[in-house]
Amino acid sequence: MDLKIEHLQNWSPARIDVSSGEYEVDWIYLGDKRFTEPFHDNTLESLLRNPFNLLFRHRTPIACLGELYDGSAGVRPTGFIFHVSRCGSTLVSQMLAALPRNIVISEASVIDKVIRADASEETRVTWLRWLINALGQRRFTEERDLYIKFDSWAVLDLPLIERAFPGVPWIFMYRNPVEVIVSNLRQPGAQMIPGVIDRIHPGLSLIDLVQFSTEERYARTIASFCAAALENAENPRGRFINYNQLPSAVTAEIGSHFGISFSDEDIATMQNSSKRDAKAPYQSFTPDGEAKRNEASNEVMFYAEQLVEPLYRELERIRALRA
Amino acid sequence: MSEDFEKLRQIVLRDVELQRELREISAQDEFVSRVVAMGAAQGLAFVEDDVLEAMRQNRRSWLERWI
Repeated sequence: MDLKIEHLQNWSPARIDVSSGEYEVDWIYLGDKRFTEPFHDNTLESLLRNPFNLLFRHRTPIACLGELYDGSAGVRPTGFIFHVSRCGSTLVSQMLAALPRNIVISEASVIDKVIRADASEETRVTWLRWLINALGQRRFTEERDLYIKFDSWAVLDLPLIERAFPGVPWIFMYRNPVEVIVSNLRQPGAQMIPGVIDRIHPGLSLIDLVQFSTEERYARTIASFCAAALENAENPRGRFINYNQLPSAVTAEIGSHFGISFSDEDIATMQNSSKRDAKAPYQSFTPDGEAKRNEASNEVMFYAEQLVEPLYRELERIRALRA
Repeated sequence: MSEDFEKLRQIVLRDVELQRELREISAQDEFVSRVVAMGAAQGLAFVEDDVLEAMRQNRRSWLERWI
């Protein structure tokens, strides 16, 4: 099929496929749907309820993203969100998505696939620029800011992402490690499953990882993300944000760091969205740090203290310096 | 996947009017019937089962993020 860029208007990259041996992009028709669900996957699931989207997709070579990049400039990234997971990052992205002028892409698997592609760093940088340009295509005249919330393990590739987008401010979000471990014990994130994301634990095989207790493995994973963030602590484009600063930090420290100011109406809209549970918007949001700490076993406390607390304290020290 | 169905797919992907018509149908049964009828209008012979099978395969592949 002789696909032209105009055929892709209102279509968006949804999935990277390598089954043919080459990197290809599956596109889904967005129409007038905004990315307002908590995660990019949720938006795809919603779109797939329409039988047309289930049956019809464009599949193109990844180079097609390059043609779009050359022919149609999307909204340039305003800010990036990195995080340890279970630390309020979805609350932040949802509050930002509450404003129609914001395009917010949250933990998109297409972005993850490109960052971790089996390709040179140079190629991954190029593909990432192309992809985010495609995801940031302006479909409504009021759209002017683009925020990308990456998967938690993407902080390990922060230097590559910075190479692709020099100058874009970013935040790294974290939380009391006991609370993060307990949250994952209730419902493990993908990063906690041994072997799913190999590079979280360099030098450790799958056999090594399954020897650890669940609590230790979770603590090691969170420590890996915190250590990666701390390696970038000197970077003036970065800022550390603690869960306990939310939700007010979104319109204050985070907005300021991203170079964005919010009107009273914006703040009211965002605060209204913050009252809902970010991951389950039909429920009310209630802070649950104390409940999680009370639920922590001695083993959780031990590994949090041994493996993550020193890093957490350093993150807090640097955050206070920059406040 | 049926060769004729694949031809219909490519015709639809190049035609925004056909796409618009199909997108307006939310009921699966009606959608599948319309796709078959569209194919017949193009001289393409495939049946509802071909369409349903394609939808099943796509549903599975869309949601398999970790494979």
